[in-house]
Amino acid sequence: MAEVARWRAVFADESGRSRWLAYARGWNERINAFVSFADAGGGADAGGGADAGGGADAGDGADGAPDGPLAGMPCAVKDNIAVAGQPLRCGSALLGAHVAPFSATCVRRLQRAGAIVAGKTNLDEFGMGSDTQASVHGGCANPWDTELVPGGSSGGSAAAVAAGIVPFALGSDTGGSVRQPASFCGVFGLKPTYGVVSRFGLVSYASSLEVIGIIAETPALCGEVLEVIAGVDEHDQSTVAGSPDRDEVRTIGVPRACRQELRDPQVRAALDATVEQLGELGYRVVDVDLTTLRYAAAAYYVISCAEASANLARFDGVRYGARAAAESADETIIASRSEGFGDEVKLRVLAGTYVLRSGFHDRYYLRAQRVRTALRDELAGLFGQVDLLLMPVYPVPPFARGKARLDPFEQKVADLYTTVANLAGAPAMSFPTPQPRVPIGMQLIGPNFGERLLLDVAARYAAAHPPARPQGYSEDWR
Amino acid sequence: MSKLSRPVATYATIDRGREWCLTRSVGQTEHGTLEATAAMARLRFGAHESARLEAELSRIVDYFALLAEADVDDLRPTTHPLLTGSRLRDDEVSDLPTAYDPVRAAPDRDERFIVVPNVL
Repeated sequence: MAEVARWRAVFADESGRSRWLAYARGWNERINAFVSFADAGGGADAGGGADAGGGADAGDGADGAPDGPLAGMPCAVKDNIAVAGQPLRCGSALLGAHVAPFSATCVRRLQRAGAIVAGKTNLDEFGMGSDTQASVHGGCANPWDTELVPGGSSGGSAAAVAAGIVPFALGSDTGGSVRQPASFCGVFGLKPTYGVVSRFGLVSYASSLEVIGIIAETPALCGEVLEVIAGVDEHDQSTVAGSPDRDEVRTIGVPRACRQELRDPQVRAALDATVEQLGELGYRVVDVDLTTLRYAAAAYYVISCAEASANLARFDGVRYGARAAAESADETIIASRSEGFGDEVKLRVLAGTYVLRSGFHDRYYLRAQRVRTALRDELAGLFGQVDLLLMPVYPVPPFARGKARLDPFEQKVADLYTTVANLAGAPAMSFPTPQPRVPIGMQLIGPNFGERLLLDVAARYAAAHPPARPQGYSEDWR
Repeated sequence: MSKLSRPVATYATIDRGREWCLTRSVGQTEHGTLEATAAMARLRFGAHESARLEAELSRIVDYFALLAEADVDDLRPTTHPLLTGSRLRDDEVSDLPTAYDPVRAAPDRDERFIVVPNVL
């Protein structure tokens, strides 16, 4: 809890809060991680590159609990998770100046534990992307090199933690959106088991795949935050509580396909080095087969687009957000959606509608769900042989912003390693590995409810190989 | 040997994904598909946007065709990772938030009513 004590002192008085805001805004001018900053009263205040927002009553959004386990600790929240009285725009023009009328369950629990929601962070529109460039607020940059993407879709949360603006942030992980930006920014990213953290207050994209996850400076802090936000919630009937089927990690499996398929020399070297380093820490690392890996990204995109086409039907310009002017109700809906959604969202809604069409449903959607069964069965079998799986997070290092970036289709194909955990509902965690230039993360995947196993291995690894900080990271202002 | 037990091959990485796309003909979605699908999705596009989206939709649907080779016909579909059955709240009177706060978010309203164009 040393981290909590350090941060509590910072936020104990107004001058500390001012120093924090100066540091945060200085970074934000360069990386555009925050889209709004909260004012001291729990509302929102524009700052740096952030847009204006606020206006509604804070309602249940008050920060508090001076004696809670996270008392005084600031955090950031991805802008697709509701914080009462703060903007909720999902990086989309369609949501206009929407302000959340209530808080997500996980946010309430953080505030009850004493955490302070310092602001909302940038993302790919509705969480659909891997580089945090497709946002109505403009692209987010990587604190290690502002010419590089921070990853996505929780890129703002990862960049904010990497820059030392907040010690932890919430993100959402539908197909890797917590782990991949954490990997690109050199911090820790935990995707809990599906259902362990309530999704109430998360703007739904693909309901059977997504979870709210944690990006933090240390594995210990990931664990502390998870303790606070996990638990059954009456507002989300998919929430579950459980415990893992083992209590220690001895053997870690590495899918042979990862080693065979990786073309990028840096990521390949990072994987090989991590295998060796985990061996030095006393873990037995063995090769395993994960044959369904080949189909993971395709199955994921069929299912996630199908679910997105249904979930995003609610955005019609009638009940909230921006409404296009039109003569009839139908025209209002069509014009609001066509003008409000960005390119990638339109493509995914189209693809999802397509795979659910009569005549195509069995060929794509039903088959993808059967592939999901095959993957779950294969993972269950593997966890009979090994305790955790080790894979890269992403097949290439952080890539460039602008025209040289991976195009959206290439980004989808590259999600093959992260989507495995979402399809299976399994917990997974990315952790930084020692690198000479830009961060590269590896991920561990565990059996259901095995978050503690992942956190323990990541903590031991981090103690032996402490993560580096980007230039400009400072604690002097505290 | 089932197809699923074959070694993982080809385009599982970025490079190979790119290579795979370049060697495939794009355009397996049928002519007119975009317009019909867009109507179902309550979207409309101009000519330029239609051409671009049609190519991108074809590309992603082509990629989905990869699933056809998976030997999964005998498996039941997974619709949800951890189905625990329906949980219902106790049937008790309690204070629930009113609908008024959400209604305040409407882009056009008259007190507690959302104003919409005439639907008749």
